[in-house]
Amino acid sequence: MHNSYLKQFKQNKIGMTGLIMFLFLSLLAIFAPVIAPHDPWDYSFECFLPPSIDHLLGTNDIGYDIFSELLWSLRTSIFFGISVGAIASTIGLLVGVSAAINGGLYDIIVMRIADALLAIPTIMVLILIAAYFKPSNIVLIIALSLIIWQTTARGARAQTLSLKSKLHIKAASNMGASTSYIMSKHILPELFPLFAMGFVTKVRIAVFMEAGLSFLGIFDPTTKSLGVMMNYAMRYLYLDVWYNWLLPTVLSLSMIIISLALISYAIEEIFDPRLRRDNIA
Amino acid sequence: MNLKKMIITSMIICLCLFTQIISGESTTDSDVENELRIADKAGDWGYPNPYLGYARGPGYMRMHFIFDTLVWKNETTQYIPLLAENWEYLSEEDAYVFHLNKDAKWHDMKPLTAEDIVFTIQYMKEHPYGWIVLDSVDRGEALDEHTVKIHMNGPYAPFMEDIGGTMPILPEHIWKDVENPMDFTDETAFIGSGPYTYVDFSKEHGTYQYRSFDEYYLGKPIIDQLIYVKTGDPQMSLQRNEVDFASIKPDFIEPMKEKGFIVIKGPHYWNKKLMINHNIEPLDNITFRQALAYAINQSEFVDKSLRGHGKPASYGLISSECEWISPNVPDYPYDLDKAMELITSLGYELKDGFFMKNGETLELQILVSMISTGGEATPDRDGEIIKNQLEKAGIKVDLTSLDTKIVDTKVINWDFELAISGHGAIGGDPKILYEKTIQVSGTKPSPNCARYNKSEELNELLDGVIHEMDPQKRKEIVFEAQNVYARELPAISLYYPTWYNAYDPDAGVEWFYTIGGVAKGIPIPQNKLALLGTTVAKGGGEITDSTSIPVENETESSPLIPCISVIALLLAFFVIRIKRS
Repeated sequence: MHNSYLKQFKQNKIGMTGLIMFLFLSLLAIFAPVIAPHDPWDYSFECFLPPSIDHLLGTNDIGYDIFSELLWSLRTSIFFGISVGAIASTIGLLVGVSAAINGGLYDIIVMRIADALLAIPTIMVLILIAAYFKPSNIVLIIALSLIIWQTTARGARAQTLSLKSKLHIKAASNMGASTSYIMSKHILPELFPLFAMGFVTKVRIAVFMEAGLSFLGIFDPTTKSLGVMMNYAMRYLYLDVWYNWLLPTVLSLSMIIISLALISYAIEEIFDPRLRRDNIA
Repeated sequence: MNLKKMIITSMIICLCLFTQIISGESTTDSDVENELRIADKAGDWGYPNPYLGYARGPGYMRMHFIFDTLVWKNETTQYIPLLAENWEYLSEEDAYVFHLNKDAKWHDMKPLTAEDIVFTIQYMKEHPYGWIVLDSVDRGEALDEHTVKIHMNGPYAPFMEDIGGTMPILPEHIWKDVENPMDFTDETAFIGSGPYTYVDFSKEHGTYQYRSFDEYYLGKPIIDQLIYVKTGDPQMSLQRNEVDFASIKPDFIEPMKEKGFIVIKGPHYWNKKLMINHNIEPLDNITFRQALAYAINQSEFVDKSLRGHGKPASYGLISSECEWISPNVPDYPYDLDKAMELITSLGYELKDGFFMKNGETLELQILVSMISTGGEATPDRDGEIIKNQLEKAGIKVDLTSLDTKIVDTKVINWDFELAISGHGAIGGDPKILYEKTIQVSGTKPSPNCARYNKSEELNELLDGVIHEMDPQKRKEIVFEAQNVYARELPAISLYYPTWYNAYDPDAGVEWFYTIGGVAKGIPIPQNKLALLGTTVAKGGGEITDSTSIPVENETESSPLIPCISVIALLLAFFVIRIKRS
């Protein structure tokens, strides 16, 4: 079943375009320490040097090499996004499935918490957390993951409730299969599409959120971030440094977001037959 | 041409002439209405009233156009007459006697008397006003209608700047019935004795509007309408001629000059400093703090964080451009070896690039935040630079960026090790040395105050800074206090940023920076004296009569003229048609 999904994804041009873009950016991020021509924390260069062979995107206001800074910022964004996506989707899946299987008071409490979280503006909570705790990437990853799991949980719960009424699940249950067996062998594999969708969507949200928070000044000053780069670049727009400082940063962030949106669209198209282009009739 | 045509033609000419007369009259009115616009990025600084304005420099500046103080400062001279024409200090009685200007009036045309001064002191003692502390003042006494005597509780050297030049005088006939000044937003709450009257303030739009007070005792201001405008980019607004005064970015000094604007460079009365928790190890050790000073390269901050538009700070807190600067303030030129030598002398050993003692790495947390300077909170590179510098000296740094208010709270609660902070008022009276070093019991702690009460020598000297009335002796004490401060380093001053402002000279006002800063040292070049003409602003005694500045071609500027001309023509044709029919 999953091999067929993979095959379908490979045949999906939109999905593959997104995946290639994301892999390219991820490779740049992973190999940033090797590719970056300079130490991103070395401010010994002259300020506002124009692009050259030595400094592909020039230098910024303090003297950092912009290209090196950009590669390290990509690393932060992608690490942040994948971490939040993995943690939040896993929490959502576990909470949703356990609520559907256990039911009762547990189900009510957990789902009301999820409803409450849906009503709370994420960015406000993060700003508050960052105001009182050191806004390191780890703190922000955990905080964001604990806030955005609820959509996956609701989907997983609904899907599990639907699966529970299926004959093969009932048969397994009647034949004495344990709850953990049913979950691992029958329910979780069926929820893979939901998990994949939730993961990609949350990675996208997290990347955007990290850049946004950094842009607003909530960041760990010991890490490089696309949002911080944009914040500083915006302050010097009047010096005509937008093309080598702001533009590459904005393009990089846009490419990550677009690539994840394309992957997300492709996954949705594969798992939801109603969206398939060859199924219009 | 028959008689009818002649009559009609004459009528048209008469009407046109009549309209010229009308428009001529309106021109005379508009000629007087010259206005000046000042751009501001933040906009809202509270109502322009002593109690409702925000307790920040721009808040005071919005208020100072309406409310006058006893004395004032201009570009070159400290303490020039304002409401008080002259004054004297009676040392044997510990009292100041002020002789008020007999022409001074309130905006509602009632005379300003000595009773108003007495009332203001009493009222501000009962309802504390954020900018001044009246503990040193016992009471006010009206000797006659225009003479007031202020009795002190004891010698208080900063009186003239702290109270005489900062305390806005309130009209007794209005404020005597005001129980809670924070709720007093009635129109009469804005009646003062300053050169401008209150017209409007919009909190939402961040705009302020003032009108000149024609009966002002120093002469009518040269600008009739003064307006503060909130704008996203003040410099751009100035370039587009939307405003006449704005702060500008250092990179634009030359282009602005080329466009005909006058650029004024601010004095260095604001410092960025490193707050130190001197109650914990190893920061409680003077040698360690001196090692920090040697490890910090002030010039690098100026070169990198300010890109050259600033100046390394004096270690004695008082601005190096202030008349009170000590000539012998201990200096700590950047010297890594010296810094490491001092740290080693405290029992630390260098291992893998960082100092260690008892198996623990020497690590310090530095709190940074977006500090608001001139009303604009902006991120800066100081945290990154200081981390780099201290790590080169073998001190591991945990850099933490938090909200400004959280950093302030942590500093006040001593829940920090090092924190980057900043404040102004270092170019005025040297009492700032006392205020930013000593924590006076019973007062609210300030996040900028070192609260370094442990040095008896410094305590004694700072007490002298406040209470020594002999100017020469006080100067010597101030010098010595700076020297001890710089030796013991309760906090480390890093640098002074340079601020630039530009104005359009065609607007008719010559703006300037006030010596020591406006009132208690506000480094904003919007002194109200600039609006009274050059003679007053430069301290030239007599006030010249205000002269209105022609705005533009009056006949073209009036929208009435074309309208009335068209009406006249239509009327003429209407008459012709009636005649024909």
